[in-house]
Amino acid sequence: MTLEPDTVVQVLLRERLRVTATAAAVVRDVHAADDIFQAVVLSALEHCDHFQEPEHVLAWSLRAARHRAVDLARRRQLRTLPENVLDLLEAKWDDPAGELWTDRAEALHRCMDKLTGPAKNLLMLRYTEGMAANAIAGKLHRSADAIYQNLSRIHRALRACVEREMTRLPGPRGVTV
Amino acid sequence: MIPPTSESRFDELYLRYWENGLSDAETAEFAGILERDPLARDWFRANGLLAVTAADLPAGGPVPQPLPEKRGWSRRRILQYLGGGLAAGIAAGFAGRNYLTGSKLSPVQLRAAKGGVTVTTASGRPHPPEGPIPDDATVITHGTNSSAVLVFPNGSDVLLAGDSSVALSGDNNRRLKLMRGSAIADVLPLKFGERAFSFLTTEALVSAVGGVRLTLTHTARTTEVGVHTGEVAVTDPSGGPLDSVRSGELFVVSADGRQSKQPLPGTPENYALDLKKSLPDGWFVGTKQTQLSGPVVRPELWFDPYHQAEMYQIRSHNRWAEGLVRLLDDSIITVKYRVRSSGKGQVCLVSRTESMKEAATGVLEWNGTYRAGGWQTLSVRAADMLECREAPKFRSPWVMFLFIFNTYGSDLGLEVADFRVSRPGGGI
Repeated sequence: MTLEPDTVVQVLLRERLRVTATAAAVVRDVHAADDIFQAVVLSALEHCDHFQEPEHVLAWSLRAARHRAVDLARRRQLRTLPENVLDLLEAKWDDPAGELWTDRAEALHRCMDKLTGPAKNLLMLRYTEGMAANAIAGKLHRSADAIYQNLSRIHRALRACVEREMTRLPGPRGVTV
Repeated sequence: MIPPTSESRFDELYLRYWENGLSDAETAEFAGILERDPLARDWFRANGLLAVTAADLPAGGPVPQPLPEKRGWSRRRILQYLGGGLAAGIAAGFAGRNYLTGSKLSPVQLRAAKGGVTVTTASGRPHPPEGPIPDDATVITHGTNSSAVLVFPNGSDVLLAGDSSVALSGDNNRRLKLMRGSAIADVLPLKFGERAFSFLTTEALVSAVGGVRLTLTHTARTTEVGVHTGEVAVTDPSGGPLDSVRSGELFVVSADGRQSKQPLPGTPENYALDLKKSLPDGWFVGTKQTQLSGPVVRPELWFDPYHQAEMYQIRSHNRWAEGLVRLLDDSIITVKYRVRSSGKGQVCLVSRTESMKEAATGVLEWNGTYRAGGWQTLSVRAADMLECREAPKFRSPWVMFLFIFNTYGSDLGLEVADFRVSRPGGGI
């Protein structure tokens, strides 16, 4: 028995962050990754009769997003990671334990809420505006090295914060970077 | 025992990976870390999630930033497709983004968009691919059969060939940065005081003062400037003089600084893929391998946007401006190949008309069976490759600018040892 379009859409909406993050990691442009997710949704709806289980939709959409992202990366002449590395990365993206992903995304939102204003703005310049460290440095009148170091600290702080949230370990009340 | 990865080194590489700023050696190092260290792979996934979540952050904080500008057409298509409650669900999924446009329009017009063409503002917002385009817009043609023409107020125009990307900037948007692909520009003589046109790539800055027709092709590491009429000055991107290129000359400059100038070649009637050398710059899909029997090209699995499916393919570089070979009805296409197991496949010759400024394209196809049993030679006349849906709607000569070997979803173990096009009696 095949899945109804409603079910396919529900699965994809629930997994939006996971699919988009898979594409973003390859194409390094969150807006292009969002476009890829939307294209994957359209394509999935056109192939509804191929899906028998929700897990199948997730696996298919992750693979489709990855291939679209690799194609776009090639067109943009970006260096891409080797296929075997993408396979290893996909192996865990593909983990059907969706609840864990939802928890992780919620934990990340909570951690981001704790970021200082300048740290949030740095992330926005980096990922929302898609600016390179040099461009951010010019805009904020700082050195590129300082921007790299700050971004690096924010990434590490957020990863650590998410891990604490996931394991419910006590930690500092704020992430200040 | 493998030492644990330094988290700071991982972040350093990741941040520059995101900017496509890693060298070959650093890319290999980064791939190696991800391959051997599961913790590094967790960090990588966490950073991907962080990036897409950060893009959803509401504006705020001490440095005010504009909201992200987003492309809306595909979202609208989904909403149209779904309607009702599900559409609301999707819309909720994308809530928090600003889809409205509002950039200042320039007097530059985009015309004759064919195939997949996108226009985005300087901040990445979508704009319709027809009519006036915004200041500092980026125009991208997606796919080999797509194209678009930029028309400037003084009548000058620039044809953007398939799989190309150009960003406009400067006074009157007359500085065009070609990120990839080919552009064919007809620049009309300038009036007194009128701003000159310039064309920028990572290797060269080409300035056209008087009337000129030029072709500009930018691949991963090379820029080619062909001047058909008029004269241009070429400098390096920072303004250091390189050369001047006159009518009938082709100037080539590489990322490593090597440069050459030669008479502008016409498209030949014979062609052979030279596997004794590296695959040409800009080679798209497929890898060269050297075996006991000699060098071969093998397909790679990739997502074919035309078929909307993963396929094993070899795709050459795209040579829209110069063309790879001029095909006539009696041209003979010869392929020496072998496969591990027999199966369905095709050879596609993607072609344009003799005028590089005409957007019409078509594909000559051999559709048949790759046969197992050692080395095989496939030989077919160009005129016998027209029984297909995408066949050219224009008569020969067809200027082939790209070729494809396809075995669809099956890995037949295809190896191509020779690919050539020749005229009867004029073999190479």
